[in-house]
Amino acid sequence: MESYKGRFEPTRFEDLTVTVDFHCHSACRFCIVQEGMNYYKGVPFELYEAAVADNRRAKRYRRVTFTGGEVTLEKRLFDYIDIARDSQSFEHIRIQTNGRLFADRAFARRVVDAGVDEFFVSLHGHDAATQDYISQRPGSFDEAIRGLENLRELGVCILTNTVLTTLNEPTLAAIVDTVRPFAPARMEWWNYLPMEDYADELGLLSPMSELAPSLREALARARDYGIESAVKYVPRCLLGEHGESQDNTQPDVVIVEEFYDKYPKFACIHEAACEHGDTCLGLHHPYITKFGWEEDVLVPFPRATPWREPEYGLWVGSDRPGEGTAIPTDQPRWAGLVVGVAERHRARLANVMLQRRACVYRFELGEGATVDVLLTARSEAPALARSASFNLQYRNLQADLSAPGLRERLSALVEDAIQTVIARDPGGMHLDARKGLVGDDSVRRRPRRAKALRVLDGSEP
Amino acid sequence: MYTPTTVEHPRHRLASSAAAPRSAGGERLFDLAFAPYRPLRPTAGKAGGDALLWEALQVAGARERWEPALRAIQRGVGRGRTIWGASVGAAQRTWRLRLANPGRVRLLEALRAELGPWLAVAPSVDDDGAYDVLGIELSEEVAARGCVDAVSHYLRGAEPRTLEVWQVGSAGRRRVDEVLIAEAKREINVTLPRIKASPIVDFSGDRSLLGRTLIPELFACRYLHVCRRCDADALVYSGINVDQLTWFLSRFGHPAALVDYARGQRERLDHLLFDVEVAYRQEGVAIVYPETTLYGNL
Ligand code: SF4
Repeated sequence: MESYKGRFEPTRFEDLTVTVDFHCHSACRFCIVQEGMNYYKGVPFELYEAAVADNRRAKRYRRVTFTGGEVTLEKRLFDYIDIARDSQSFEHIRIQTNGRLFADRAFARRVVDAGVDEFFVSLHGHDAATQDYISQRPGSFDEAIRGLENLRELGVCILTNTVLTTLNEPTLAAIVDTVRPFAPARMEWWNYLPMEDYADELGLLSPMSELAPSLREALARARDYGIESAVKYVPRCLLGEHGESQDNTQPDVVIVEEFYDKYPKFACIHEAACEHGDTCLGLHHPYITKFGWEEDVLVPFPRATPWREPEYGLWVGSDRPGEGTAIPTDQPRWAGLVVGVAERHRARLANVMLQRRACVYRFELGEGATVDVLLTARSEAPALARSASFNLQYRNLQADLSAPGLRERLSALVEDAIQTVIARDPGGMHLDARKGLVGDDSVRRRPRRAKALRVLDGSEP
Repeated sequence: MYTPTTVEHPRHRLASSAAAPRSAGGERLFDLAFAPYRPLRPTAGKAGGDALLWEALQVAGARERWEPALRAIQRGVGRGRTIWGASVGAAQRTWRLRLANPGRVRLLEALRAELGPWLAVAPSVDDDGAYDVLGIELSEEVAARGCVDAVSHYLRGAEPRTLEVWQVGSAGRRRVDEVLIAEAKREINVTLPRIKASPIVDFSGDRSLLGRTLIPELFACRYLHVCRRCDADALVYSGINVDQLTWFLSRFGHPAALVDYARGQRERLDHLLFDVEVAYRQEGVAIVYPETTLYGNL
């Protein structure tokens, strides 16, 4: 039972992020993909083309973001941009960058002229000493600042990204002052996630007792300057009046699946008691292992609704009975596909669970009888039926089928639900079937490790 | 309907696993408190609850020695009522068995009869059947002596949802464990004070110690069993999935071949929930883990 907190589940349908390559000319001390630099490859170009072609048809995403590594180093950068632009299927094309190459005004202009209109620039220090120490590249701060100046003059949308570590934690508010002249549309603050160094041997994890006050000061300053903030991986209850700025969503990322397997997982000891227990990730496991659960520091927001165990781990397809249901979706479009079905069969639509790869309708027929009707992205995979957008199946049948007439009622309900979805599905409704889009050939051979990752276990002083 | 016995379970009383829902393969699945659960996946083509036990015995080189006796229990007194455990600790590998006794019958006598060809079981203990669960522990040392000296009696405690564990043998009867069982997340306000009120770990001195005793990777489970023993505390994480199990085996030094097996057989094991136990105590500023145990259905 690994929780949604356990498995980072990208859920935002608006944005598509494409990992072009993992090379970089900086070497940020916290870089979450630094290990990957050595053996991940970027997305194969033809898969990227296929994703764009899919978006041209399906209009699934409004924005495409190119990231790496440092994407501005990519030889085919303009090929990537051209394809996205020519598809006319994205409202915005964004680059996630350290900003250094944009110090060259001609290059900056060329990228803007090619169609990139949003620049998500990393700035981890408020001054050259801090930033260059973090990036391990003297001059990188000055280059990034010149890059920001150029982008500002070119009139594009600028966003900044700051990774929160012990290296910049005392001076976060000063970063707001540093970027203010460039009028960023938003500043994003991402708490450091150890991808390899789970024991934090590098000492980059900042204890909440120090990080939270400093971050709150920075958020307040950004607010005073009229700059929007977004915070990831910091407990909401520690953000004070800035709780609304917590945003733990991630775009869909075209990236090797293994990348997410290495993502740290999260937990909060107060999850069941907290109104935000479903969306606030709490603390990541390496943090808890090092600093404890912070059970006296985290303050749950009183729940207005009873807590229910989230749908765990292996997403849907569970044969677990009712206790494992997910939060009902508030998306009427999806509920609308089966409205009226339950009533026709003296049943109840108990839940609509919309997840990245599936939509599940759970029907209850009374006396403990339940059945799920499951929608997955339309494909050639075996299915009971197909609608314009989906493969349809039923599963998780919980019933005493020896009860008189129950089997017939269940069959009729499932049949009705399936026919109703087929009749109402307008086409173009999207569930993600992209798992495995990036195949084995996207991973360079990884050197065998002599020993497993070390996990802080307290057995050492 | 579950058959209630005498030990309360958070949501239902400690139940006879004989009442557990049958999976498609005919196997009844239940947790360490003998509370039944439904398999997480359709069970066709999946491994049984005992698969990991045989593999654990195999990689420990102990399968030949113990499988016949365990099969005898499985066929006889233990059917649908037995939990097995594989422990790794500083001393030696041990194999635990817990048999539910909802009817308070003379289970020890039945067990003696089954194990007679291999072992004597607590010959000095009179069996009055006055226990809810009967436990025994097997090891190389037991095999060498041909005798299990003591058995464990699990009894409903004075407080709701508690168990007392008594060791009963030739040396007499002594309490060796007190257990509190509660839902992991929803009832953390029940378990946390109990965990912190430890005579073994000084949580008031170093708050970070809790992060190494209540293991975050295992917190996403169904129930926590808070165990207070003579020389260590322990937490049982009841109802973890196969991915957490693999992490646990790897993290706590279970044999690499068993880790590989769990990883390689993931698709055949993903319908099961597992219970794992981590015993811990404080040594200076460190938390050490003297013994960890994996449990499953026999
Ligand atoms: S109590 Fe936990 S879930 Fe609630 S806001 Fe704080 S960290 Fe998040």
